[in-house]
Amino acid sequence: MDKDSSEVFDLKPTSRMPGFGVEFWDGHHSGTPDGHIKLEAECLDRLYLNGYIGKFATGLGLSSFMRDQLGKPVPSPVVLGQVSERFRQAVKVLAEREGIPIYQFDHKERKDDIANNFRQQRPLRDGIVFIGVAQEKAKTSTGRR
Amino acid sequence: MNGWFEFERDKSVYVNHYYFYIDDADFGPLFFEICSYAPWSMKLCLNGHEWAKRQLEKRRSPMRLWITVSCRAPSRRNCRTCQTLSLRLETRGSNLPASPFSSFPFIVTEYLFVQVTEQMEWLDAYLRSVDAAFEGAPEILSPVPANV
Repeated sequence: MDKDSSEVFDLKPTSRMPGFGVEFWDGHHSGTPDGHIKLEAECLDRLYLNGYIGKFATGLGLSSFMRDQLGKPVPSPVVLGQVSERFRQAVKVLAEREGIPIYQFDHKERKDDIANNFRQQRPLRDGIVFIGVAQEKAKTSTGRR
Repeated sequence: MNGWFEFERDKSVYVNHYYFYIDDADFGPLFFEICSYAPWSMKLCLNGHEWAKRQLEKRRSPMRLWITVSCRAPSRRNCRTCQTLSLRLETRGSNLPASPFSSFPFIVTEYLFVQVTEQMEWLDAYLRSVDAAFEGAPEILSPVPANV
């Protein structure tokens, strides 16, 4: 690559905007065809938001939830199991009613790959593409007598 | 503590997590995860790129716009003095309109010939259109550090 062309094509970032950076790269460096310039846009990638109910973070809060809100006089792990079972049933009913596939993830499967396949098979707009179920480790509330 | 249960969160156990993979009108592909057992923690995963694509798409501006510029000078050595560039616009893998600039009078088929200075003006116009697309963005994603 001769120096002159490098000076011409190796353009520096021309503009930076909040949340959207734009840069121009020389084709020789970026792998684009010879003498071509590629426009690249940068912005925030994945954003994880964790949600939890503070009251459930303590045993006392969980117990009062079962007593006061669920109306169970004895706050027992059985009650929590019933809530989980109701949730599982609700998901199942939703999936059957809406025709949403439910997929059981294997341990070594990449969820993104599976999701991409489903998104290609079911190119929905504004809807649930599929529901995945995975057994994963979590810090849960365990009850003991 | 006979007859009572104590609840602790000091142990990790295997429980079912439900992942809802969704296509949202505003955010595009996303998922949220719910733990099926107490304390029913949740996680929502958004993707800024997908959000930007969807926002631009809703404004009929192609995100997957690739701009290739090739110099039409007799040799690349005298590119610096060359005033004419061939600028090719193409969209890849999308049903989006070919170009938001298709109304430009000087587009000839897929090539347009612009002066170098005009090219920079054109890019400014493009950046302004992108900037306009981000107006009214949800606060959750705006402002975003430019170096992310």
